[in-house]
Order: sequence, then structure tokens, then C-alpha cells
Amino acid sequence: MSLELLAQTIINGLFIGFLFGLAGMGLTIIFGVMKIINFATGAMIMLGAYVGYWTYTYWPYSAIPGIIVSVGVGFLFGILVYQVLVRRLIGKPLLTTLLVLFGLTSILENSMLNLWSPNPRSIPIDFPTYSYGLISISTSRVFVSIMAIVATILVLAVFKYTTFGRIIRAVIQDKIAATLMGVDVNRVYTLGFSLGVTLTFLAGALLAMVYPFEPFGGLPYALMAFVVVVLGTLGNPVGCLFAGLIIGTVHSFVGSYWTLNMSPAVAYLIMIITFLLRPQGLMGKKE
Amino acid sequence: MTAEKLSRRKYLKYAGAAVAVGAIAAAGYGVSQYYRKPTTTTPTTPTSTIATTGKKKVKIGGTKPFTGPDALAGISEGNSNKLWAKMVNENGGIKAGDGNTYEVELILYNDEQKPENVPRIYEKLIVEDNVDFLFGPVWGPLGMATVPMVEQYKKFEIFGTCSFDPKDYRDWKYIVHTITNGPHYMEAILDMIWERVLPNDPDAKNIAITHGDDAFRGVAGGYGYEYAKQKGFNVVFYDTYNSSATDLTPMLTNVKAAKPAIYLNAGVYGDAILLMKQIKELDLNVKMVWAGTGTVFPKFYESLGKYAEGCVTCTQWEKGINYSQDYGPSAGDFLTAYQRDYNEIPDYHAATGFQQGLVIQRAMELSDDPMNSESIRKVAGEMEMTTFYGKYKVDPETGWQTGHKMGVVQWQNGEKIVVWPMTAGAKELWYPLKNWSER
Repeated sequence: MSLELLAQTIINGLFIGFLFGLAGMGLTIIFGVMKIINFATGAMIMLGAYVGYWTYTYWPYSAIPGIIVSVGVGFLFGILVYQVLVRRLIGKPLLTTLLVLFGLTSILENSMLNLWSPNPRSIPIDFPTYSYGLISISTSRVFVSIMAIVATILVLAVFKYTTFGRIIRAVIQDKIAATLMGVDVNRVYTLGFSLGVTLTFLAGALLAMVYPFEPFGGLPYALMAFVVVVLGTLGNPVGCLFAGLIIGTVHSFVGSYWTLNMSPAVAYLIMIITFLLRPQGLMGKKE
Repeated sequence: MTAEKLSRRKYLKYAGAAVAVGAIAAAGYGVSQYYRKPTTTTPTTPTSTIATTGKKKVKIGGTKPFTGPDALAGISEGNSNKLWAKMVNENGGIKAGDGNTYEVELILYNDEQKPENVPRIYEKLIVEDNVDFLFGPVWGPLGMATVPMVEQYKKFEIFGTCSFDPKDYRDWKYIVHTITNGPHYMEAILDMIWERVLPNDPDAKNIAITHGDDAFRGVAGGYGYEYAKQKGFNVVFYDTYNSSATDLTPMLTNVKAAKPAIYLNAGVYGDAILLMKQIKELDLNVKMVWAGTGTVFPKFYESLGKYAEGCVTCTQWEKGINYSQDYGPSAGDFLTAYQRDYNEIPDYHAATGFQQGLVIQRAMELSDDPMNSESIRKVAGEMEMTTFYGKYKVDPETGWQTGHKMGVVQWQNGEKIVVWPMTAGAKELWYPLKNWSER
């Protein structure tokens, strides 16, 4: 029995960890590229969930179209937000960014409230569950995890093997040198921000498959994404995914072997310890 | 030292500072709401005012969360406050104990489910709008936020769907309650199991109880747990979770390992949906499940479809619960009027809103000084009545509801069927539930 509980605890933790990792990845890419902290992450996750849900209501046979539409809308939304708002924040004090993006959060949340009402929504997709004793594996969770892994691999492949990825890495390393070499930094920033927002929307669309969501429900996910980003090293997508799995597993162990009530507190404690003992995160090099 | 490293340091410094400042500000703000002195208010536009003719009138005001997470409940309760005022005025007004007839003027504002808005609006209602009596909002923390104003200005207030821990009570003199209070929320379900299920299935004694940790869920679940133990249930698992939790699987894994026959969770709408989805994902099979009070909403069924079948929930009132009443319109009249005006079947929040009005109406009829809060509070503390909503009787001193008993409903073929109490026309109970794989 106790081994089964242990196994189920690990499985639960890994499943939610993939979502945490994906949510953090959008945040970390945006910071890595343009040193902007996307404080509107929570609202964007919810918006991604609503787009997925909204698509599902028109095509209630599969969740895939919802995910695709959410990714597409996320990319366009990222371009729009960057051009209208974020472009003007680059180089500004952190407080300005914080206030403007909190303002954006409020606008998005209240828009969602008016568009979709305050009721929590949920996509009633009927995925089967396979059980062996105490251990149960839901295929919806497996699907979400696979999507998170695929997204991470795609992001890494883009960064490593494409010209666009090389340009992004060049801008991350030295923006001025990249500009002197003919790189259009504004364009890179636009695409980098959009990529981050796209991943955030994807996290939302996947979340909608397994969790209920509501207009103001993004904050817990955003806070977890911040924890994951700090632990996994700022600007490092792979670190983010690993950190997500660690935080997810810790969340699960605290809930199973202590109390779920303390789960968020332990996650934030990990963030504080990381601040104090290893501020560069798990994947970063010591300064 | 590279620019990136500098940025990271800066980020960590600022992010840490932002988290700390946010936490201190939130804590400070929360404390200030309990200790703040009255301040001048800024005028806001009421969301609803029932206009009156030139007759004598009684002015009643309040707030509801017309937006925010509990807006569904706020809108329902507000709708019925308005419906009650309309029906009273259509029937010529309240024939009070002083021989006069009073028409009702109602002023409702949106508190946006923010406790910080509530004292300001209630002070405005009392000082600027000059209301005579107050309707309480929906949700415990909002109700708590009205207390300083109500007690300071000595205005009678009738709470609606709003409850808090009795330990927080501090000799408040002007408030009475309509609903069965939070500490007694789980009693109806536990009583039903004890009296209706246990005689046929001894295994039903083995139950698991969990609940969220906020003002309502903590009280309902915590007191429910104590009640279950007193009653003689074998509570095989008990735990709490953070009310903003987005994942309950770690706790549910333990529930599954404990193998309860029945699983009861004191949650609200959001966690009721989450819990049901994750119970299914974990293939957690029990003979009866209560996912939380949110089970009562039709949206619960719409969200879960066939997986909501068989879920039970306690309810303050439900279509189909019939009491032998001695005051107010019949359940049928209320249903007809509500459906006529709002084109939907009223939930218990709606019924609670109507009961708020009936309490003031009856107290005014019995009082020889019907516009005086002291007099109305005294009468409301002593009177008893049974309306379509059930019994009204409060503790004369504390105002806590002692007469009203909750019922239990179960989702059966997409409809809520009353399964408790037996005296209110309860129907067949689906028990035990089928395993998930068989549904």
C-alpha cells in the first residue's frame, strides 16, 4: 500500500509539474530575451484556457482544435501586446513594468469576466483512466504531459537549430553586438515576446483540459510559474521544465504525506531558500 | 560580471522586495479593515432601486457581490430581495404594528465581493441614503465587514447567505441570521447518512472529510468533522486544503488509500468541480460523495454532465422541499413569481434573499415601533415563523439562526431531487453510486 501511495504521489507530482514548467517557460523566455518580467502571466494563462474552452464549445469532439487555436491566438496576442505596450517598457524601471503589466492583468481579467461571467468553467472531455490498485493514470494528464514535453523540445530545437534561434541567442548574449551585425532587435523582441505568450496560452489551454478555471484564477499558477522560474534559472527553458517537475513533486509529497494546506507555503519556502543559497537557480552558473 | 548576471541579481532583489511589500500591504490592509474608523464615502450609483409612491415608506439597503467569484449567489439573492420588495408593494405595502402601511424602497449596491468595499458602502447607505434597515451581503467575509458600521450606527441588519465562525462573535446587537449557520452545514447530510443509509449499510459509518481553509469552508468542514465524531461516525480520513488550491490529487490519493464508504468535502463551486474531475481521474470510488455546496448550482451539472449524477449536497432550500408554513407566500407562488421575473428556477440563495425580506416584514408587523432598529431587532430575536423557506427562529441574544434546518438534494437524471429530510417529502436516494468505470 505505501509503495502504491508513493508511486501515485510521484505520478501526481510529475503531471502537475509539467504544467508548472510550461507556465514558467513562457515567463522565462520573455525575461531571457528582453529582461521584462511578464507580470500578466496569470491572466494570460486564463485567457489561453478560455480560448481553448471557447473553441471547444464550437467543436465539442476533441480538445486538439482548442489547443491549436489557443496557440495561434496567443502568438497574435503576443505581437499585439508587445507592439502596443511592452515595446515602450524596455529599459524602463522595473516598477513601471510592474504597474503597467498589473494594469494589463486587471484589464484582461475584467474583460474575461464580462465575456464569460465569473462562473468557473471546465471542459468535460471524457478521457479514460487506467487503474492498478491505488495507482491510477488519467490519459488526460498523460496527454497534457506529452504536450508539455513536445513544446519544450520544439522551443529548444528552435533556439538551437534555426536562424531565428541563433539570432535570439545572439541578442540575449549581447544586444549591441547583434544590432551591429544587422539584427533587427525590435523584430526579435516582438517574436521572442510572442513566443513566450504563446507558451503561456498553451499552458492555459492544456490546463483547461484537466482543471476548472475562472477569470481571476490565474494568480496561483502565475505564482507557481515565478517559483519555477527562480528555481530553474531565469532564461533557461530546460531548467524551467525540471524546476516545474521538482515543484510539482514537492507539492504532491507535501499534500500526500503532510497536508495539502501547506503545499503552497513549501513551494514559496523553496523559492526563498533558492534566493538565499543559490540565486542563480539550479541550472545557472555561480556569479 | 555580465549584463545578464546583473539583471538577474536585480530581478531577484526586486522580485523579493515586491513579494515582501505585497504581503505586508495585504496584511496591513486586512487588519485595517477590522479596525478602520468610519470615513467619508464617495457616491456610487446603486445597481438597483425600487421606486415608491408618496405613501409612508421603509428604506432598506445592502450590497451583494454582483461581480466576483460568488456573483451567481449574489445575483440570485439580490434578485429575490427585489422580488420581495416588488411583491410587498404590489400588495399595498407592509401593515406594521403601529397601524401604518409602509411601502418598501430598496437600494442595492455591488460590493464586487471585496470586503474592503463593504464598510464604505454600508456607511453610505446609513449616512447618505438614510436607509432604515439593512440586508446583509453574500459570503462570510463580506458580512463580517458590515459589522463595524451596523454596530456603530445601530442599524438592524438581516444576514442572508453569509456565515462565519461563532468564535468570531463579539456581542453584536443588531444582526440576525436567516440561514443555517456554517457550523451546522454538514449536519443534514450526516443525519441523513446516519438515519437513512446506515441502517441498511453498516459500511456507511466509514467516512472521509476534507475542507478548504477559508472562513466558510473551514467552519463548515471543521465543525462538520466534530459533529461526525460526536455522532459516532468512523472518520477514516480528515484533512484540509488551501482554498486557492489548483490541484487536489495529493489529498485525494490519501482519501483513496483510506477506503471510505462515503466522502464529504466542504467546498464551494470551484473546488467542487475540481474535486469531481480529480476523483474521476484517480478512479476514487465511493458509495456517496458531497463535493461541496457548489454542487447545488445547475452549472455544476452542466460542467460535469453524467459524472455529476448521484452527487449529493446540502441546501438551505430547494424546489420540492415542502414545509407546513404559517407565513408568507407558498413555495409555488415564490417559484412562479421568480420564474416570471427572472426566467429561471430559483436556487437557495434566491430563496434566502426572499426570506431576508420576510423577516423584516414580519418583524415590522409585530412591532409597535416598526421604524426603530432597537425595536425590530428585539422582535426579530423573539418571533418564530415557518415560511416556504422553512423555520425562522434565532437566539434572542446572538441572533444566530437556531430554527432553520437544511435539506439534502441529489442529482438524478439531470435534476435535483430532495432526499432529506423525510418530513419534507424526500424521494428515493441513489445509493450506492456506481464505480466510475461503470458510468
